[in-house]
Amino acid sequence: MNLTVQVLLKRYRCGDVRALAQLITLCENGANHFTEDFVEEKEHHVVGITGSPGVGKSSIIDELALRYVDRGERVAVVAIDPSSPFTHGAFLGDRVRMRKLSTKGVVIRSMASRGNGGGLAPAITSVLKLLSGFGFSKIFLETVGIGQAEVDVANVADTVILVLSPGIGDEIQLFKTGVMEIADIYVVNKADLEESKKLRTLVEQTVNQGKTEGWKRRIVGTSCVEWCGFEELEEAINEHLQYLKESGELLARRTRRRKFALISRFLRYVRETVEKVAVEDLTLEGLKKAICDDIIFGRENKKDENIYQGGR
Amino acid sequence: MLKERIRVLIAKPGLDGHDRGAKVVARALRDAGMEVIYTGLRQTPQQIVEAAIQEDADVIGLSILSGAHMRLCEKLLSLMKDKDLHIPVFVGGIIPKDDAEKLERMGITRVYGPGTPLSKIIEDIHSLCGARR
Ligand SMILES: Nc1nc2c(ncn2[C@@H]2O[C@H](COP(=O)(O)OP(=O)(O)OP(=O)(O)O)[C@@H](O)[C@H]2O)c(=O)[nH]1
Ligand SMILES: [Mg+2]
Repeated sequence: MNLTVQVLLKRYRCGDVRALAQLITLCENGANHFTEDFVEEKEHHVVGITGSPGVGKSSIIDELALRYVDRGERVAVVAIDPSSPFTHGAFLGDRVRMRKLSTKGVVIRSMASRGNGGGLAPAITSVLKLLSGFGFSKIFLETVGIGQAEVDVANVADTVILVLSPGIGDEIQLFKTGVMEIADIYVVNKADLEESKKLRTLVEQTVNQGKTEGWKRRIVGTSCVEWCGFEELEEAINEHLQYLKESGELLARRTRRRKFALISRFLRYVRETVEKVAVEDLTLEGLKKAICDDIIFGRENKKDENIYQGGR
Repeated sequence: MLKERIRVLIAKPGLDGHDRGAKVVARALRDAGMEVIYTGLRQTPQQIVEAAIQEDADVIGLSILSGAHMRLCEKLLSLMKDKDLHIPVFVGGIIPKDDAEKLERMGITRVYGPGTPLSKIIEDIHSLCGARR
């Protein structure tokens, strides 16, 4: 491990938010291996908030996070927005709707999806580990405004909340896809709007059908304009956490997250290796050989060293 | 693979309510390949510094139209100093020439008046952050 990471980790362990932020940047830039051996996860609860663009994910987090701060929890928010596939730039705008939090000691980190198609960012599992190790007990994770197939959040969060709202136009689309099945809690937001009632009825008809054992999925109506429904939502989240702990499901979800982290990392490694394979060797055998060479010559480790050297 | 991106925090301190200019700049920086964290209207210098730290921003860009640029910048720079945060700060807005000079002497990296070409801002950020990246 090089000096930069060592120094940062020392400051991180002393509770320095800036060091935390800089370590997150390192993870985003691909140098995340140190999180495996040198960061220790603490007790925490990751609440994933997903849903189509503009349904009110950030507004809901703004209100919800505040409630947990008032209960004495240490709260962090990770909000992911899409990177442009062409310029790789990103407009990260979730802070605009999280205005109350900026005065309450809540750490907010905006992340770009950096080409990741599942609604999260490549570094997400390392970043969650860093946040939990820093002492945040409640971590809200806002995904990219999803379309249809972006369901990675279910591999990473302990509790998944799907936010729906009227007037977005693609609810029916959502019902047809996997996204509708991944949530533990359904929020029908913008309850102040008349059409919200109809949507709620529709959700009630769809959710829990044919499902009898285990967690009974909850449906909550909220409004970020009239400030209603949040008590009920908080209750649902707490009940789900209780359920996770009692049923042993929490452990299962953590294992799922670790598997997901490993798979993501391996896929990235394979992608990079494929890029290095010569055109005439573009076969499974060729790839296997390239990976074996890599292992034999320990190139993976060396490369990591280089990345650490390159970090700030 | 190491793919570092320049992270720019764009904020709109003060009480005036227009952020069209700030958004135009934010979009242009995004299109130039940067990750732009947009914080929205009416941010206090305190909030801006906190956000810059949490987001590990490489640059702060302020849009100020309220006329309170001297007070706001002074406050921001002193907070940054307290936090040992040394990153470039850009200011865009309608700022008299005398004040612009004062701001730059105070520690603001660049002041951009209305009509500054976006390409100039992009170029400046690249040349300032290039060395660190
Ligand atoms: N009427 C009404 N508007 C709301 C409500 N909640 C949020 N909004 C508005 O909906 C818009 C989108 O809210 P956000 O919180 O930014 O939604 P989001 O899901 O985070 O959006 P993305 O991050 O862009 O996907 C904003 O203009 C909010 O003011 C609500 O309960 N009622
Ligand atoms: Mg949002």
